[in-house]
Amino acid sequence: MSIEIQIIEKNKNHKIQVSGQVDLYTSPNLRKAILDNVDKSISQITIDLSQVKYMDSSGVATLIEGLRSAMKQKKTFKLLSPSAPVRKVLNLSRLETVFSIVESDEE
Amino acid sequence: MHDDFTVVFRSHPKLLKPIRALVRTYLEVANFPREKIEEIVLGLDEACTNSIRHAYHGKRSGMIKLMARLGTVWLEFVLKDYGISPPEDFLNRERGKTIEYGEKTLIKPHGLGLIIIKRVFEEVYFNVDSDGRNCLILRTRRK
Repeated sequence: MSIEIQIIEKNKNHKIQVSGQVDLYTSPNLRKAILDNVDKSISQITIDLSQVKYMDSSGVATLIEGLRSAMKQKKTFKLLSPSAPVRKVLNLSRLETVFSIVESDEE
Repeated sequence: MHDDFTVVFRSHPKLLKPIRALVRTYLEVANFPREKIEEIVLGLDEACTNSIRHAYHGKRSGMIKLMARLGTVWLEFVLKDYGISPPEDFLNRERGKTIEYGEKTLIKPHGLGLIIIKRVFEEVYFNVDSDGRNCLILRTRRK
């Protein structure tokens, strides 16, 4: 498996730290982690993408699905410090402005 | 223009990672700049992903053939599969339809791969060859 996912629970905020490569093979794991956590009794979910070495459109689609699910449940959904490959695929997908992107946990 | 490499692989998503590594190494040897390499690897990965998802509907035993050719002006990839053919006009279909969610406008995830392919490669062609194989031709300028 070329992806590692770690969940950090802090009060009503959950952070999902992702490292490795997110593609058609690995994105179902990320999807499950995000949707499982969005469904919990939380107010905010942050996806830490600083250690992602590669992401394709299936990873972006997974993030969109997470955002949509969070918005439906009136929860905050943020991307934390996306790595250069993540920014690249968001830019090529014309989706940079769709997500709330923060550079630190405090934002 | 000559074929620099040809690789035939099964339509298993786990194979996308080694294919990306192969293409990345090939482009490094050909002295493409780092940023261009990452864009091409992404665009080609999207094309392979489309073959797996749409031509083979996730079936992992289909065959995909990837050829790379480096000419003086163009870098060309030809991707062939024996899966289900897309509609003839799929390259020109409207993509990126949006959905409204509160104050946000979200693009539907469907079709993102094709958006990326068309932004990475200057020329994208599709045809079905005489053996019934889907052929996607992707070209980008060397410079």
